[in-house]
Amino acid sequence: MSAPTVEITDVRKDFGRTKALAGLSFDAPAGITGLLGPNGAGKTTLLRMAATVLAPDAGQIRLLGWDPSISDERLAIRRRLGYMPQEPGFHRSFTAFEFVDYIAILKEMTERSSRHEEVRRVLTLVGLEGVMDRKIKALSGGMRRRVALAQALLGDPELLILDEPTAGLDPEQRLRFREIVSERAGDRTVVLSTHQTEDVAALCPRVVVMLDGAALFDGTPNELSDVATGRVWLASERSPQARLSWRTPDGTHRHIGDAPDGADLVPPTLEDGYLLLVGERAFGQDEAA
Amino acid sequence: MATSLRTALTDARASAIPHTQGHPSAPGVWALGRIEARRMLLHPSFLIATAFGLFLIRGLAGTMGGGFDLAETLAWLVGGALIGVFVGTVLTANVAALRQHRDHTQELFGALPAPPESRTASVFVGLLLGPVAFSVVLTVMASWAFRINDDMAASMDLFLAVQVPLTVFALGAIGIAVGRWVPTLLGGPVVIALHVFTGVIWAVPWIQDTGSGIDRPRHMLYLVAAITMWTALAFARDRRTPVRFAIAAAAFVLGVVMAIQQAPLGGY
Repeated sequence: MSAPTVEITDVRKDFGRTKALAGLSFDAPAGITGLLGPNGAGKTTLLRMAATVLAPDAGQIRLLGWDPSISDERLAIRRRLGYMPQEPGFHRSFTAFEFVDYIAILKEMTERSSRHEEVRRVLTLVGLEGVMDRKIKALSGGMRRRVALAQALLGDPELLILDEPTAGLDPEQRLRFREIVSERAGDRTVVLSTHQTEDVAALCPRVVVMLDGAALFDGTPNELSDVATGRVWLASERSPQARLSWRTPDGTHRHIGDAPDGADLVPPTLEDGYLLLVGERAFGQDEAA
Repeated sequence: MATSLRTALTDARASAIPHTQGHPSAPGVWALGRIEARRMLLHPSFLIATAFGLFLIRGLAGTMGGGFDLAETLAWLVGGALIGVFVGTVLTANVAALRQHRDHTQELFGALPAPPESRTASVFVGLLLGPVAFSVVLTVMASWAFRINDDMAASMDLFLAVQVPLTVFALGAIGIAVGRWVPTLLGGPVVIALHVFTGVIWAVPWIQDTGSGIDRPRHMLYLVAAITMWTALAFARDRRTPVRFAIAAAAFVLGVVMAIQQAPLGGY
């Protein structure tokens, strides 16, 4: 196994009275690592630290072998980093091409013709070749997400940090996104957060589930599914015994937790494992309260 | 209120983006500057202000009964365009400096290797390549118009010509510095209103001809001091170093002294 590209050790971060990260330790080697967790779990705070735009209150961070708290090393990291924030701002009066070109210059690509070639390459890669001369304010939300992804891909960075990259993308674009990211994975490191468990199942050989600023689970998608082995049931009625249950399109009720009467055991999915894990912790807190 | 201010400051400190240290690269600033120049010249505020200046002077010339020769007409038009350029430069430079804040791109740009000074420097380069270069063209046109008219030729000299682009640069620097420190689109218009309506512009003129009796070296120093002060303040927003504030303070003192000393005895 290769050395981790992202090493985060006992990191703490508070925003006023809110504890965003509570002694989190985490590492990501080459390949794709997916972060799952409910809102407020600390995923974005973690990714912002991995993107060098947020400093921890305590703990150690090393990215690509460098320490981002040291100015020169932070610059070295930024030269090898692609970052797509959760809410990337855009210069709305720029065209998609102009905006990505602007960022390419800030990424120190100063030679005009090769830079323009690279800008066209990444915009084509995300399927925006037909609208690259359109102003960003005229693009749809999904297209803007793709502009944000395109700028992150500039220069084929060694470390790619993507915060909810598939939010707002249609199914075809999500497929395309998976293709782009999995092609890049190889010897590169991709860390992404998402609420889409299907993306994690399809893309990530490794998944970390976060809750309350700490890592609750770290393993493969299959291992996450296995968390719910023997605890997912189908029944014709909603059962009060179940920790979580919902009605499926075929009219049966899917239960996670203890078996209701007359229910059939079914194989768990990654989402079942995630819900059981996060739900159990949440229920545990409720009970403690 | 003190508590909420303290909380806001704590939050701002907790969320602060660690900047890239180091100097901006010249090729990067130049490349960004070309983009900024194009955007400034084509920005509606610049185009509308320039057009408005032209129409204003055209109308004013009309009320004087007309009958101007080619040189006089050209001089009027260039003069009108320049009034628009002065106003438009403050506005367009202000908008360019504000763009990052208005579009919430700080986090995205914060993860890039170029230091924040690259973007501020590029707006200044854009100012030079855009509005300042445009004002040079207008000044050359005006110089030619003045030269072909015997009555007007005496009032045009190098001293007057040089002040025009320097004034455009100074006004643009004000727009940029205000945009960096005052995160609202009202900053530019307020600067213009304060300038005109509080009489600053009349008490300490940006442009004066030799015939006014102004002390020429001191006036030039005044313009340079104004440019230096606003430029240092703009860069101090990127990184609040004592050196940048000291340069701004020294330029301010020099500017005030030169503003007082440049006026001829008994006034203009």
